[in-house]
Amino acid sequence: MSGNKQDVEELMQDLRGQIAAEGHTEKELEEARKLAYLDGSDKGPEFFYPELAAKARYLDTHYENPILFAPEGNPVKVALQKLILKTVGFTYFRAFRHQNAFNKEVAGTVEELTAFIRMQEKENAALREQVERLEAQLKGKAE
Amino acid sequence: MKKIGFVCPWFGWNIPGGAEAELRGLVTHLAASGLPCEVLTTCVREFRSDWGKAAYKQGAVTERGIVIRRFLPDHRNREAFRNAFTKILAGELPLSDREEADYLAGSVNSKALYDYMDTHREEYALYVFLPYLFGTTANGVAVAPEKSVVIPCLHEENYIRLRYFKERFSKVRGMAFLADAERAVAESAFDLSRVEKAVLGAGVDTDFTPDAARFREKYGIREPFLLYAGRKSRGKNVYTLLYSFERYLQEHPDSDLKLVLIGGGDIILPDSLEGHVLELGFVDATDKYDAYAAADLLVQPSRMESFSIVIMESWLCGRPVLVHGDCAVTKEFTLRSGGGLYFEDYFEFAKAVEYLTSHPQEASEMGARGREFVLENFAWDAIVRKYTEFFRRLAGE
Repeated sequence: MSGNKQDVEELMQDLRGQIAAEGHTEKELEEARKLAYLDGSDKGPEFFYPELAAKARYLDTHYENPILFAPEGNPVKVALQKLILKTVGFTYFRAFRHQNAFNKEVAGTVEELTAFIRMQEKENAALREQVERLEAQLKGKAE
Repeated sequence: MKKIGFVCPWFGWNIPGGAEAELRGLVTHLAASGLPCEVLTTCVREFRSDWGKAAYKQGAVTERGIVIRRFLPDHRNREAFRNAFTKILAGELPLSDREEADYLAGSVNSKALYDYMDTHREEYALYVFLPYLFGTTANGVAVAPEKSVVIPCLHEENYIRLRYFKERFSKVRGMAFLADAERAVAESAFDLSRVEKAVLGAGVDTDFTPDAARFREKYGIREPFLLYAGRKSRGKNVYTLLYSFERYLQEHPDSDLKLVLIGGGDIILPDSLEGHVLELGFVDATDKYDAYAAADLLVQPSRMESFSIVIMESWLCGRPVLVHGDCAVTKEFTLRSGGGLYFEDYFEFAKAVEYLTSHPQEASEMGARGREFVLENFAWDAIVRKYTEFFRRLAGE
Protein backbone atom coordinates (compact mmCIF):
# COMPACT_ATOMS: atom_id res chain seq x y z
CA MET A 1 0.00 0.00 0.00
CA SER A 2 2.90 2.37 0.66
CA GLY A 3 3.72 2.11 -3.05
CA ASN A 4 0.26 3.42 -3.89
CA LYS A 5 0.73 6.35 -1.53
CA GLN A 6 4.06 7.14 -3.10
CA ASP A 7 2.53 6.97 -6.60
CA VAL A 8 -0.27 9.37 -5.71
CA GLU A 9 2.03 11.80 -3.92
CA GLU A 10 4.50 11.74 -6.82
CA LEU A 11 1.72 12.52 -9.26
CA MET A 12 0.46 15.30 -6.98
CA GLN A 13 3.97 16.74 -6.84
CA ASP A 14 4.10 16.66 -10.62
CA LEU A 15 0.77 18.50 -10.88
CA ARG A 16 1.88 21.03 -8.26
CA GLY A 17 5.06 21.60 -10.25
CA GLN A 18 2.95 22.41 -13.31
CA ILE A 19 0.89 24.86 -11.24
CA ALA A 20 4.03 26.55 -9.89
CA ALA A 21 5.42 26.87 -13.42
CA GLU A 22 2.32 28.84 -14.42
CA GLY A 23 3.51 31.63 -12.12
CA HIS A 24 0.28 32.52 -10.31
CA THR A 25 0.27 35.55 -8.03
CA GLU A 26 -0.30 35.24 -4.27
CA LYS A 27 -3.76 36.70 -4.73
CA GLU A 28 -4.65 34.13 -7.39
CA LEU A 29 -3.42 31.32 -5.18
CA GLU A 30 -5.46 32.66 -2.28
CA GLU A 31 -8.57 32.86 -4.49
CA ALA A 32 -7.97 29.29 -5.66
CA ARG A 33 -7.70 28.11 -2.09
CA LYS A 34 -10.89 29.90 -1.03
CA LEU A 35 -12.76 28.13 -3.79
CA ALA A 36 -12.00 24.78 -2.18
CA TYR A 37 -13.65 25.82 1.10
CA LEU A 38 -17.19 26.93 0.35
CA ASP A 39 -18.88 24.73 2.96
CA GLY A 40 -18.48 27.37 5.66
CA SER A 41 -17.25 24.73 8.09
CA ASP A 42 -14.03 26.61 8.81
CA LYS A 43 -15.85 29.77 9.86
CA GLY A 44 -16.53 30.75 13.42
CA PRO A 45 -19.59 32.68 14.58
CA GLU A 46 -18.31 36.04 13.30
CA PHE A 47 -21.75 37.65 13.19
CA PHE A 48 -23.22 36.10 16.26
CA TYR A 49 -25.35 38.35 18.48
CA PRO A 50 -24.29 37.46 22.04
CA GLU A 51 -26.56 39.98 23.75
CA LEU A 52 -29.64 38.83 21.90
CA ALA A 53 -28.81 35.21 22.67
CA ALA A 54 -28.32 36.03 26.36
CA LYS A 55 -31.72 37.77 26.49
CA ALA A 56 -33.35 34.82 24.77
CA ARG A 57 -31.83 32.48 27.32
CA TYR A 58 -33.10 34.73 30.14
CA LEU A 59 -36.62 34.54 28.71
CA ASP A 60 -36.27 30.79 28.38
CA THR A 61 -35.66 30.38 32.09
CA HIS A 62 -37.89 33.15 33.48
CA TYR A 63 -41.12 32.88 31.55
CA GLU A 64 -43.13 31.20 34.29
CA ASN A 65 -45.05 33.26 36.86
CA PRO A 66 -45.55 31.47 40.18
CA ILE A 67 -49.27 30.80 40.47
CA LEU A 68 -49.59 30.26 44.17
CA PHE A 69 -48.13 32.51 46.87
CA ALA A 70 -48.30 31.38 50.46
CA PRO A 71 -50.44 33.92 52.38
CA GLU A 72 -48.30 36.03 54.67
CA GLY A 73 -48.47 39.12 56.90
CA ASN A 74 -50.64 39.84 59.93
CA PRO A 75 -53.60 37.55 60.69
CA VAL A 76 -56.07 39.91 59.01
CA LYS A 77 -54.02 40.01 55.81
CA VAL A 78 -53.58 36.24 55.82
CA ALA A 79 -57.32 35.75 56.31
CA LEU A 80 -58.07 38.20 53.51
CA GLN A 81 -55.64 36.48 51.14
CA LYS A 82 -57.13 33.07 51.93
CA LEU A 83 -60.61 34.45 51.26
CA ILE A 84 -59.50 35.84 47.90
CA LEU A 85 -57.85 32.55 46.96
CA LYS A 86 -61.00 30.62 47.84
CA THR A 87 -63.42 32.95 46.11
CA VAL A 88 -61.67 34.10 42.91
CA GLY A 89 -58.76 31.65 42.90
CA PHE A 90 -60.26 29.51 40.15
CA THR A 91 -60.32 32.38 37.61
CA TYR A 92 -57.02 33.74 38.84
CA PHE A 93 -55.21 30.39 38.50
CA ARG A 94 -56.62 29.78 35.04
CA ALA A 95 -55.51 33.21 33.82
CA PHE A 96 -52.01 32.63 35.12
CA ARG A 97 -51.80 29.20 33.49
CA HIS A 98 -52.83 30.72 30.16
CA GLN A 99 -50.29 33.50 30.58
CA ASN A 100 -47.52 31.05 31.46
CA ALA A 101 -48.29 28.85 28.48
CA PHE A 102 -48.20 31.93 26.25
CA ASN A 103 -44.91 33.10 27.77
CA LYS A 104 -43.39 29.66 27.21
CA GLU A 105 -44.30 29.78 23.53
CA VAL A 106 -42.86 33.29 23.19
CA ALA A 107 -39.60 32.32 24.91
CA GLY A 108 -39.26 29.22 22.73
CA THR A 109 -39.98 31.19 19.58
CA VAL A 110 -37.40 33.85 20.46
CA GLU A 111 -34.81 31.14 21.12
CA GLU A 112 -35.53 29.50 17.78
CA LEU A 113 -35.36 32.85 16.01
CA THR A 114 -31.96 33.64 17.50
CA ALA A 115 -30.70 30.21 16.40
CA PHE A 116 -32.12 30.91 12.95
CA ILE A 117 -30.37 34.29 12.85
CA ARG A 118 -27.09 32.63 13.69
CA MET A 119 -27.49 30.15 10.87
CA GLN A 120 -28.51 32.94 8.45
CA GLU A 121 -25.51 35.01 9.43
CA LYS A 122 -23.18 32.11 8.69
CA GLU A 123 -24.91 31.58 5.36
CA ASN A 124 -24.63 35.30 4.60
CA ALA A 125 -20.93 35.31 5.39
CA ALA A 126 -20.34 32.47 2.93
CA LEU A 127 -22.47 34.18 0.27
CA ARG A 128 -20.65 37.46 0.85
CA GLU A 129 -17.41 35.68 0.06
CA GLN A 130 -18.86 34.27 -3.11
CA VAL A 131 -20.01 37.73 -4.21
CA GLU A 132 -16.57 39.16 -3.51
CA ARG A 133 -14.99 36.38 -5.50
CA LEU A 134 -17.31 36.94 -8.46
CA GLU A 135 -16.72 40.70 -8.32
CA ALA A 136 -12.98 40.07 -8.35
CA GLN A 137 -13.40 37.80 -11.36
CA LEU A 138 -15.45 40.46 -13.22
CA LYS A 139 -12.91 43.10 -12.33
CA GLY A 140 -10.12 40.86 -13.64
CA LYS A 141 -12.02 40.37 -16.93
CA ALA A 142 -12.67 44.12 -17.31
CA GLU A 143 -8.96 44.84 -16.83
CA MET B 1 -20.81 -17.08 22.43
CA LYS B 2 -23.43 -15.02 24.27
CA LYS B 3 -25.49 -12.46 22.35
CA ILE B 4 -24.13 -9.21 20.96
CA GLY B 5 -26.60 -6.37 21.62
CA PHE B 6 -26.33 -3.55 19.10
CA VAL B 7 -27.63 -0.37 20.76
CA CYS B 8 -28.78 2.52 18.56
CA PRO B 9 -31.22 5.44 18.86
CA TRP B 10 -33.52 4.10 16.09
CA PHE B 11 -33.60 1.17 13.73
CA GLY B 12 -35.41 0.52 10.46
CA TRP B 13 -34.69 -1.28 7.20
CA ASN B 14 -35.30 1.76 5.02
CA ILE B 15 -34.37 4.79 7.13
CA PRO B 16 -31.73 7.22 5.82
CA GLY B 17 -28.26 7.77 7.27
CA GLY B 18 -24.76 6.37 6.88
CA ALA B 19 -24.42 4.93 10.38
CA GLU B 20 -27.93 3.48 10.14
CA ALA B 21 -27.04 1.70 6.88
CA GLU B 22 -23.77 0.47 8.35
CA LEU B 23 -25.59 -0.99 11.36
CA ARG B 24 -28.14 -2.77 9.17
CA GLY B 25 -25.40 -4.32 7.06
CA LEU B 26 -23.24 -5.28 10.02
CA VAL B 27 -26.03 -6.93 12.03
CA THR B 28 -27.38 -8.77 9.00
CA HIS B 29 -24.02 -10.14 7.89
CA LEU B 30 -22.80 -11.01 11.38
CA ALA B 31 -26.06 -12.82 12.14
CA ALA B 32 -25.83 -14.69 8.83
CA SER B 33 -22.33 -15.82 9.79
CA GLY B 34 -23.71 -17.39 12.96
CA LEU B 35 -22.90 -14.72 15.54
CA PRO B 36 -25.96 -14.22 17.80
CA CYS B 37 -26.97 -10.56 17.34
CA GLU B 38 -29.87 -8.46 18.59
CA VAL B 39 -30.83 -4.83 18.09
CA LEU B 40 -31.71 -2.84 21.22
CA THR B 41 -33.28 0.46 20.33
CA THR B 42 -36.06 2.95 21.04
CA CYS B 43 -39.50 3.23 19.49
CA VAL B 44 -38.46 6.42 17.65
CA ARG B 45 -38.75 6.10 13.88
CA GLU B 46 -35.59 7.87 12.66
CA PHE B 47 -33.34 10.93 12.96
CA ARG B 48 -35.86 13.38 11.47
CA SER B 49 -38.70 12.23 13.77
CA ASP B 50 -39.69 13.62 17.15
CA TRP B 51 -37.11 12.01 19.46
CA GLY B 52 -39.61 11.81 22.31
CA LYS B 53 -42.40 10.16 20.33
CA ALA B 54 -42.91 6.43 19.90
CA ALA B 55 -43.59 5.44 16.30
CA TYR B 56 -43.29 1.70 16.95
CA LYS B 57 -44.89 -0.45 19.63
CA GLN B 58 -42.56 -1.33 22.46
CA GLY B 59 -41.47 -4.96 22.68
CA ALA B 60 -39.52 -7.53 20.69
CA VAL B 61 -40.08 -8.44 17.05
CA THR B 62 -38.08 -10.67 14.73
CA GLU B 63 -37.44 -9.26 11.28
CA ARG B 64 -35.20 -10.87 8.64
CA GLY B 65 -33.99 -13.24 11.31
CA ILE B 66 -32.90 -10.46 13.67
CA VAL B 67 -34.50 -9.86 17.09
CA ILE B 68 -35.25 -6.15 17.50
CA ARG B 69 -36.18 -4.97 20.99
CA ARG B 70 -37.76 -1.51 21.08
CA PHE B 71 -38.25 0.57 24.24
CA LEU B 72 -40.29 3.72 24.88
CA PRO B 73 -38.26 6.94 24.54
CA ASP B 74 -37.96 9.29 27.51
CA HIS B 75 -39.69 12.63 27.77
CA ARG B 76 -37.30 15.36 26.59
CA ASN B 77 -36.62 18.88 27.83
CA ARG B 78 -36.53 20.34 24.34
CA GLU B 79 -35.90 23.93 25.44
CA ALA B 80 -32.79 23.05 27.42
CA PHE B 81 -31.58 20.74 24.65
CA ARG B 82 -32.10 23.44 22.02
CA ASN B 83 -30.11 25.92 24.06
CA ALA B 84 -27.12 23.56 24.37
CA PHE B 85 -27.44 22.33 20.80
CA THR B 86 -27.38 25.83 19.25
CA LYS B 87 -24.31 26.69 21.31
CA ILE B 88 -22.53 23.56 20.08
CA LEU B 89 -23.44 24.36 16.49
CA ALA B 90 -22.22 27.93 16.87
CA GLY B 91 -18.95 26.68 18.38
CA GLU B 92 -19.56 28.39 21.75
CA LEU B 93 -17.52 25.84 23.67
CA PRO B 94 -16.88 24.70 26.29
CA LEU B 95 -20.43 24.24 27.56
CA SER B 96 -21.11 24.39 31.27
CA ASP B 97 -21.67 21.08 33.10
CA ARG B 98 -25.37 21.93 33.23
CA GLU B 99 -25.55 22.56 29.48
CA GLU B 100 -23.71 19.32 28.68
CA ALA B 101 -26.12 17.44 30.92
CA ASP B 102 -29.05 19.18 29.20
CA TYR B 103 -27.70 18.19 25.80
CA LEU B 104 -27.42 14.51 26.70
CA ALA B 105 -30.66 14.37 28.67
CA GLY B 106 -32.47 16.13 25.81
CA SER B 107 -31.05 13.77 23.19
CA VAL B 108 -32.82 10.51 22.41
CA ASN B 109 -32.86 8.34 25.55
CA SER B 110 -34.81 5.47 27.02
CA LYS B 111 -34.68 4.63 30.70
CA ALA B 112 -36.57 1.42 29.90
CA LEU B 113 -33.77 0.44 27.51
CA TYR B 114 -31.07 1.16 30.09
CA ASP B 115 -32.99 -0.81 32.74
CA TYR B 116 -33.30 -3.76 30.36
CA MET B 117 -29.57 -3.65 29.60
CA ASP B 118 -28.82 -3.57 33.30
CA THR B 119 -31.06 -6.46 34.33
CA HIS B 120 -30.17 -8.68 31.33
CA ARG B 121 -26.45 -7.93 31.21
CA GLU B 122 -25.52 -11.56 31.85
CA GLU B 123 -27.27 -12.62 28.65
CA TYR B 124 -25.06 -10.43 26.49
CA ALA B 125 -21.36 -10.82 25.76
CA LEU B 126 -21.10 -7.21 24.61
CA TYR B 127 -23.19 -4.13 24.01
CA VAL B 128 -22.14 -2.38 20.80
CA PHE B 129 -23.15 1.26 20.42
CA LEU B 130 -23.31 3.47 17.34
CA PRO B 131 -23.06 6.26 16.41
CA TYR B 132 -21.42 8.17 19.26
CA LEU B 133 -23.30 11.45 19.57
CA PHE B 134 -26.74 10.42 20.86
CA GLY B 135 -27.99 9.83 24.38
CA THR B 136 -28.43 6.10 23.79
CA THR B 137 -24.66 5.82 23.37
CA ALA B 138 -23.39 8.38 25.89
CA ASN B 139 -25.81 7.23 28.61
CA GLY B 140 -25.98 3.60 27.47
CA VAL B 141 -22.26 2.93 27.90
CA ALA B 142 -22.59 3.97 31.55
CA VAL B 143 -24.81 0.91 32.23
CA ALA B 144 -22.07 -1.68 31.68
CA PRO B 145 -18.86 0.02 30.50
CA GLU B 146 -16.87 -3.20 30.94
CA LYS B 147 -18.81 -4.83 28.13
CA SER B 148 -19.46 -1.76 25.99
CA VAL B 149 -17.96 -1.30 22.55
CA VAL B 150 -18.45 1.94 20.61
CA ILE B 151 -18.36 2.30 16.83
CA PRO B 152 -18.34 6.10 16.91
CA CYS B 153 -18.59 7.01 13.19
CA LEU B 154 -17.12 10.42 13.98
CA HIS B 155 -15.18 13.12 12.23
CA GLU B 156 -13.73 16.43 13.36
CA GLU B 157 -16.75 18.38 14.66
CA ASN B 158 -17.81 20.36 17.71
CA TYR B 159 -19.70 17.52 19.45
CA ILE B 160 -16.54 15.51 20.12
CA ARG B 161 -15.34 18.27 22.47
CA LEU B 162 -18.08 17.58 25.04
CA ARG B 163 -16.52 16.47 28.32
CA TYR B 164 -19.23 13.85 28.89
CA PHE B 165 -18.08 11.89 25.86
CA LYS B 166 -14.47 12.09 26.97
CA GLU B 167 -15.28 10.91 30.49
CA ARG B 168 -17.60 8.07 29.48
CA PHE B 169 -15.66 6.77 26.48
CA SER B 170 -12.47 6.52 28.55
CA LYS B 171 -14.08 3.63 30.48
CA VAL B 172 -15.52 1.51 27.68
CA ARG B 173 -14.15 -1.93 26.78
CA GLY B 174 -13.46 -1.25 23.14
CA MET B 175 -13.80 1.14 20.23
CA ALA B 176 -13.88 0.22 16.53
CA PHE B 177 -13.10 2.73 13.80
CA LEU B 178 -13.84 2.95 10.12
CA ALA B 179 -10.47 4.48 9.22
CA ASP B 180 -7.07 5.32 10.72
CA ALA B 181 -7.86 9.02 10.35
CA GLU B 182 -11.04 8.59 12.42
CA ARG B 183 -9.04 6.83 15.12
CA ALA B 184 -6.56 9.73 15.18
CA VAL B 185 -9.40 12.25 15.65
CA ALA B 186 -10.91 10.13 18.45
CA GLU B 187 -7.58 9.77 20.23
CA SER B 188 -7.07 13.52 20.07
CA ALA B 189 -10.49 14.16 21.62
CA PHE B 190 -10.88 11.32 24.14
CA ASP B 191 -8.64 9.50 26.60
CA LEU B 192 -8.56 6.00 25.09
CA SER B 193 -5.41 4.80 26.81
CA ARG B 194 -7.27 1.94 28.56
CA VAL B 195 -9.62 1.15 25.68
CA GLU B 196 -9.06 -1.71 23.20
CA LYS B 197 -8.98 -0.06 19.78
CA ALA B 198 -9.14 -1.44 16.26
CA VAL B 199 -9.59 0.04 12.80
CA LEU B 200 -12.00 -2.36 11.14
CA GLY B 201 -13.67 -0.35 8.37
CA ALA B 202 -17.23 -0.62 7.11
CA GLY B 203 -18.84 -3.17 4.86
CA VAL B 204 -19.63 -2.46 1.23
CA ASP B 205 -21.96 -4.45 -1.02
CA THR B 206 -19.90 -5.83 -3.88
CA ASP B 207 -22.44 -8.02 -5.60
CA PHE B 208 -23.48 -5.95 -8.63
CA THR B 209 -22.52 -5.58 -12.29
CA PRO B 210 -22.56 -2.02 -13.59
CA ASP B 211 -23.16 -1.12 -17.23
CA ALA B 212 -21.76 2.22 -18.40
CA ALA B 213 -23.38 2.05 -21.84
CA ARG B 214 -26.81 1.44 -20.30
CA PHE B 215 -26.50 4.66 -18.26
CA ARG B 216 -25.34 6.76 -21.24
CA GLU B 217 -28.15 5.45 -23.39
CA LYS B 218 -30.84 5.89 -20.74
CA TYR B 219 -29.90 9.50 -19.97
CA GLY B 220 -28.63 10.48 -23.44
CA ILE B 221 -25.13 11.45 -22.28
CA ARG B 222 -22.37 11.12 -24.86
CA GLU B 223 -19.85 13.56 -23.38
CA PRO B 224 -17.25 12.78 -20.72
CA PHE B 225 -18.50 13.67 -17.27
CA LEU B 226 -17.61 14.14 -13.61
CA LEU B 227 -20.00 12.50 -11.17
CA TYR B 228 -21.15 13.70 -7.77
CA ALA B 229 -23.19 11.18 -5.76
CA GLY B 230 -24.79 12.00 -2.43
CA ARG B 231 -26.78 14.65 -0.63
CA LYS B 232 -26.41 18.05 -2.28
CA SER B 233 -25.80 20.50 0.54
CA ARG B 234 -23.38 23.17 1.65
CA GLY B 235 -22.19 20.84 4.42
CA LYS B 236 -21.01 18.40 1.76
CA ASN B 237 -19.02 21.24 0.13
CA VAL B 238 -20.99 20.87 -3.10
CA TYR B 239 -20.61 24.58 -3.94
CA THR B 240 -16.85 24.09 -4.14
CA LEU B 241 -17.48 21.49 -6.83
CA LEU B 242 -20.00 23.67 -8.69
CA TYR B 243 -17.91 26.85 -8.71
CA SER B 244 -14.68 24.97 -9.42
CA PHE B 245 -16.40 23.27 -12.36
CA GLU B 246 -17.76 26.63 -13.54
CA ARG B 247 -14.29 28.13 -13.49
CA TYR B 248 -12.84 25.05 -15.17
CA LEU B 249 -15.26 25.49 -18.07
CA GLN B 250 -14.40 29.20 -18.31
CA GLU B 251 -10.72 28.33 -18.57
CA HIS B 252 -11.36 25.39 -20.94
CA PRO B 253 -13.92 26.87 -23.36
CA ASP B 254 -13.50 23.99 -25.82
CA SER B 255 -14.19 21.32 -23.20
CA ASP B 256 -17.37 19.29 -23.55
CA LEU B 257 -17.04 17.97 -20.01
CA LYS B 258 -20.32 17.65 -18.05
CA LEU B 259 -21.13 17.33 -14.38
CA VAL B 260 -23.76 14.78 -13.35
CA LEU B 261 -25.33 15.04 -9.89
CA ILE B 262 -27.24 12.19 -8.29
CA GLY B 263 -28.86 12.25 -4.85
CA GLY B 264 -31.25 14.41 -2.85
CA GLY B 265 -30.98 17.95 -1.51
CA ASP B 266 -31.41 21.40 -3.01
CA ILE B 267 -28.72 23.63 -4.45
CA ILE B 268 -28.71 26.81 -6.50
CA LEU B 269 -26.98 26.24 -9.81
CA PRO B 270 -25.13 29.22 -11.32
CA ASP B 271 -26.83 30.29 -14.57
CA SER B 272 -23.58 29.80 -16.45
CA LEU B 273 -23.73 26.07 -15.76
CA GLU B 274 -27.04 25.58 -17.51
CA GLY B 275 -26.57 22.84 -20.10
CA HIS B 276 -23.35 21.68 -18.46
CA VAL B 277 -24.83 20.12 -15.33
CA LEU B 278 -27.29 17.25 -15.30
CA GLU B 279 -29.24 16.89 -12.05
CA LEU B 280 -30.81 13.45 -11.85
CA GLY B 281 -32.02 13.51 -8.23
CA PHE B 282 -32.60 10.16 -6.60
CA VAL B 283 -31.94 7.21 -8.91
CA ASP B 284 -32.33 3.50 -8.25
CA ALA B 285 -29.35 1.33 -7.33
CA THR B 286 -28.86 0.02 -10.87
CA ASP B 287 -28.67 3.53 -12.34
CA LYS B 288 -26.36 4.61 -9.53
CA TYR B 289 -23.84 1.84 -10.19
CA ASP B 290 -24.13 2.38 -13.94
CA ALA B 291 -23.43 6.10 -13.40
CA TYR B 292 -20.23 5.33 -11.48
CA ALA B 293 -19.04 3.08 -14.29
CA ALA B 294 -19.91 5.62 -16.99
CA ALA B 295 -18.24 8.58 -15.27
CA ASP B 296 -14.69 9.64 -16.02
CA LEU B 297 -14.26 10.11 -12.30
CA LEU B 298 -16.21 10.63 -9.11
CA VAL B 299 -15.64 13.89 -7.22
CA GLN B 300 -16.11 13.79 -3.44
CA PRO B 301 -15.62 17.42 -2.29
CA SER B 302 -16.81 16.86 1.31
CA ARG B 303 -14.37 17.68 4.08
CA MET B 304 -16.27 15.81 6.79
CA GLU B 305 -16.62 12.11 6.08
CA SER B 306 -16.09 9.25 8.49
CA PHE B 307 -16.10 6.66 5.68
CA SER B 308 -17.67 7.76 2.32
CA ILE B 309 -19.42 4.79 0.78
CA VAL B 310 -19.62 6.59 -2.59
CA ILE B 311 -15.87 6.51 -3.21
CA MET B 312 -15.90 2.77 -2.44
CA GLU B 313 -18.74 2.24 -4.91
CA SER B 314 -16.94 4.26 -7.58
CA TRP B 315 -13.84 2.10 -7.13
CA LEU B 316 -15.90 -1.08 -7.27
CA CYS B 317 -17.13 0.17 -10.65
CA GLY B 318 -13.53 0.68 -11.73
CA ARG B 319 -13.43 4.48 -11.78
CA PRO B 320 -10.98 6.81 -9.99
CA VAL B 321 -11.96 9.47 -7.46
CA LEU B 322 -10.98 13.05 -6.72
CA VAL B 323 -11.33 13.90 -3.03
CA HIS B 324 -10.77 16.96 -0.86
CA GLY B 325 -7.29 17.00 0.63
CA ASP B 326 -8.65 18.41 3.86
CA CYS B 327 -10.80 15.34 4.58
CA ALA B 328 -8.47 13.05 6.50
CA VAL B 329 -10.51 9.89 5.88
CA THR B 330 -11.11 10.11 2.11
CA LYS B 331 -7.54 11.30 1.56
CA GLU B 332 -6.23 8.36 3.59
CA PHE B 333 -8.24 5.86 1.53
CA THR B 334 -7.14 7.50 -1.71
CA LEU B 335 -3.47 7.39 -0.75
CA ARG B 336 -3.62 3.82 0.56
CA SER B 337 -5.43 2.51 -2.48
CA GLY B 338 -3.78 4.62 -5.17
CA GLY B 339 -7.30 4.96 -6.54
CA GLY B 340 -7.35 8.67 -7.31
CA LEU B 341 -6.08 12.14 -6.53
CA TYR B 342 -6.91 14.92 -4.09
CA PHE B 343 -7.16 18.71 -4.25
CA GLU B 344 -6.73 21.56 -1.79
CA ASP B 345 -7.36 24.49 -4.11
CA TYR B 346 -8.88 25.24 -7.50
CA PHE B 347 -5.61 24.82 -9.42
CA GLU B 348 -5.14 21.31 -8.04
CA PHE B 349 -8.77 20.54 -8.82
CA ALA B 350 -8.30 21.67 -12.43
CA LYS B 351 -4.99 19.84 -12.91
CA ALA B 352 -6.40 16.64 -11.43
CA VAL B 353 -9.50 16.79 -13.66
CA GLU B 354 -7.31 17.50 -16.70
CA TYR B 355 -5.05 14.58 -15.85
CA LEU B 356 -7.77 12.04 -15.14
CA THR B 357 -9.84 12.94 -18.20
CA SER B 358 -6.88 13.02 -20.58
CA HIS B 359 -5.14 9.85 -19.34
CA PRO B 360 -7.83 7.17 -19.67
CA GLN B 361 -5.40 4.29 -19.26
CA GLU B 362 -3.95 5.67 -16.00
CA ALA B 363 -7.42 6.62 -14.76
CA SER B 364 -8.66 3.08 -15.35
CA GLU B 365 -5.63 1.67 -13.55
CA MET B 366 -6.40 3.91 -10.57
CA GLY B 367 -9.98 2.66 -10.61
CA ALA B 368 -8.75 -0.94 -10.70
CA ARG B 369 -6.41 -0.31 -7.76
CA GLY B 370 -9.32 1.21 -5.84
CA ARG B 371 -11.47 -1.84 -6.58
CA GLU B 372 -8.77 -4.17 -5.34
CA PHE B 373 -8.46 -2.06 -2.18
CA VAL B 374 -12.21 -2.24 -1.46
CA LEU B 375 -12.46 -5.98 -2.11
CA GLU B 376 -9.49 -6.65 0.15
CA ASN B 377 -10.58 -4.44 3.03
CA PHE B 378 -14.31 -3.74 2.93
CA ALA B 379 -16.07 -6.66 1.25
CA TRP B 380 -18.55 -8.09 3.74
CA ASP B 381 -16.70 -11.38 4.27
CA ALA B 382 -13.56 -9.44 5.28
CA ILE B 383 -15.57 -7.12 7.55
CA VAL B 384 -17.44 -10.01 9.22
CA ARG B 385 -14.14 -11.78 9.92
CA LYS B 386 -12.53 -8.66 11.43
CA TYR B 387 -15.52 -7.72 13.62
CA THR B 388 -16.02 -11.31 14.79
CA GLU B 389 -12.38 -11.61 15.83
CA PHE B 390 -12.53 -8.24 17.61
CA PHE B 391 -15.77 -9.05 19.45
CA ARG B 392 -14.56 -12.52 20.48
CA ARG B 393 -11.33 -11.07 21.82
CA LEU B 394 -13.17 -8.43 23.86
CA ALA B 395 -15.61 -11.02 25.15
CA GLY B 396 -12.66 -13.13 26.33
CA GLU B 397 -13.25 -16.04 23.95
